[in-house]
Amino acid sequence: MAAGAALAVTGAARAFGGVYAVRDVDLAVEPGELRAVIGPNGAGKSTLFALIGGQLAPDAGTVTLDGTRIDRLPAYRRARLGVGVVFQAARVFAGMTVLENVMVGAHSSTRAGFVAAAMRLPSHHRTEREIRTRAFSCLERTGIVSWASRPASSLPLGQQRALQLARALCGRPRLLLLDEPASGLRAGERERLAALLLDLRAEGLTMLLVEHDVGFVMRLADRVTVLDLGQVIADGTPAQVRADTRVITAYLGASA
Amino acid sequence: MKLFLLLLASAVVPALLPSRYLATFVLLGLTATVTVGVSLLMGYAGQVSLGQAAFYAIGAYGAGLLSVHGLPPLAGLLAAPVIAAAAAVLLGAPLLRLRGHHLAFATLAVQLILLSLLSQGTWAGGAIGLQGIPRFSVGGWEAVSDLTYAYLALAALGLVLLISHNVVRSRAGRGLRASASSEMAAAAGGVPVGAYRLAVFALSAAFAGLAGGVYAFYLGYLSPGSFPVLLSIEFVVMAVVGGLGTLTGPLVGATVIVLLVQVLNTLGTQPGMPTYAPSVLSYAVYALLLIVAVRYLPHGMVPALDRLSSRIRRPSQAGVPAESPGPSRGRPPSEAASPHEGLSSETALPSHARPSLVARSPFLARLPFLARLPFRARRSHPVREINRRSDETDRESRRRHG
Ligand SMILES: Nc1ncnc2c1ncn2[C@@H]1O[C@H](COP(=O)(O)OP(=O)(O)OP(=O)(O)O)[C@@H](O)[C@H]1O
Ligand SMILES: [Mg+2]
Repeated sequence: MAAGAALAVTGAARAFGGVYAVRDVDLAVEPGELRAVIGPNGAGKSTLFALIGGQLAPDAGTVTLDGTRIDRLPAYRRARLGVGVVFQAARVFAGMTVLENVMVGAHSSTRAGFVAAAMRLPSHHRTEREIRTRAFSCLERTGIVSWASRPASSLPLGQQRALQLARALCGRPRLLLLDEPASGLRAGERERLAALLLDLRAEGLTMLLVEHDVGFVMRLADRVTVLDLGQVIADGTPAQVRADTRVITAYLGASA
Repeated sequence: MKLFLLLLASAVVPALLPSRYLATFVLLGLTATVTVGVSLLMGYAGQVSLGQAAFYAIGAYGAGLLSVHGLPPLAGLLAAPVIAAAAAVLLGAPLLRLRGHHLAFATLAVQLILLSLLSQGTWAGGAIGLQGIPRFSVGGWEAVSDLTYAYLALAALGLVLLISHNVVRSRAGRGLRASASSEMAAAAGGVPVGAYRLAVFALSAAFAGLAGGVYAFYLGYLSPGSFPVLLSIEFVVMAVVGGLGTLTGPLVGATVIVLLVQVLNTLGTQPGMPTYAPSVLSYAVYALLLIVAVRYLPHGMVPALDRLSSRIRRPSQAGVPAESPGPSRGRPPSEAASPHEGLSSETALPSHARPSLVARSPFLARLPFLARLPFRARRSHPVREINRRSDETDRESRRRHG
């Protein structure tokens, strides 16, 4: 796994119909850090991720990855620079097998295009072999290798989430955005996910994690950023954030 | 496998055919060559070309003009697909960024413009046509007989099928299939969706151009009238009837329709029939076949036959093909391409809504102007898609943890 990248978001804003979903958000994530982003429903967490991943263009602000500005790049270029995404809604490629789904994820870090494929050049075979090997190892890591030849859309939700994660890992990301990867998982599956995230962190991958289960988040994250109404209301270690009065009123208090 | 058996079988056909049918065979081979490209474009890039005959014409005129002006026919034939692909790139680059029916209408417009250019331009022989195209030759060998052209057409078809097969089963092909299912997730995986669609469009144009090249040398004469808009429609109908996103589909579609039109032509030219009978009959066939295919075989003939034969072979699993474990080889490849943008799982119809005809047919769904009709799910905004909960469990876990 390549070493994690540093992410910096400054002054990011995005509005929908005049209402800000994300406003003046600054975020600095160190290489190898596991940063949690929490906040109530509609706080702008997914919107922030979309601004980083390239699914949405920001109205204002910058996003840099290891000092390179990426906020004007299309999503596929960001993927090539090492941004991996696990979407909130598990979106698998229907009509393709689990293995093929994961192999698509390798796109961002492999070459071999139409000509090589059409003429079955050696580079095609080399790439295919590499992608396949890589995809299998990602399936193994996420615990769904036994489903490899199944149609992806036939997987239960938990496995679909694992599939999305495997697909993102197959692209060898340097920054991984995880939007509620644990939602809908059973307790055992959650534990396995937590262990995998810790493994990935140990390998130096930078991660951003959105999760509503505060216990889960506090246990894993190096630092926590709290969003409310599109703005950062707190940023610090789990212990600091837990003690923050604004957070308690805005978010933690609501469920306590 | 099935595909190559089919091709192998068809290789003996010209040798056995009475010579008066060879012309039809050549035409069929060339038509199928073009249709393979249309099927690839529609099935894998989710785009419709209503002007594919324009690329057929560009290839034909390209090869014809080059060889009339003294270039060796082989050079003309090789140039034909290249010129057609270049034209497609020029046309498609600005268009494929937009989505929906832009490409369909633009290709239609291009064909109309091309036809009027060709019939006006003296350089192309005008309305009378381009005459005196030499026979195809390589070195000292010259292709004269219909039988040779039948094999030439088959070779073009084989080449085009091989290329399609290779492309579909590759990194690029997976990227294409993925973007047909979820453009957003494909792009997040690093797939340059727009560039890939353009590449498929260019490839489909190259196929048409190659067929056009063979056509030029076979007929030795070209006129704008040989490339009517109806021909473009014909290619689309063949692709749809055969089954999009499969390689056998266009072969079956082209064969069925070419033969049917031949039969009706014979019928229409029987003594006692009015002079307009042949053309009315062939229009009627397209219309009818399209309606029947869309209504009863929304995925086309080949996937329908596949499903039927797998049901016969494995009756126990027929009811639950999607859930059946094991390798997916038995599943019709069209399934890969059918869930495309507007109707994929991303924009699920409300469960109570009965899926409309448009929703059920991948072909109709590919003509996005139909989306203006009230019964189709609208494409949702990217963020709405991000936010859409995948199911109940999600909401439940939220209640528990949030
Ligand atoms: N396409 C859109 N059009 C209009 N408003 C939108 C759109 N997408 C998001 N919003 C609004 O922006 C705000 C932030 O949404 P976002 O999805 O980023 O929140 P979130 O923190 O991810 O919430 P959740 O925890 O429910 O996933 C919400 O008020 C939402 O309604
Ligand atoms: Mg969200």
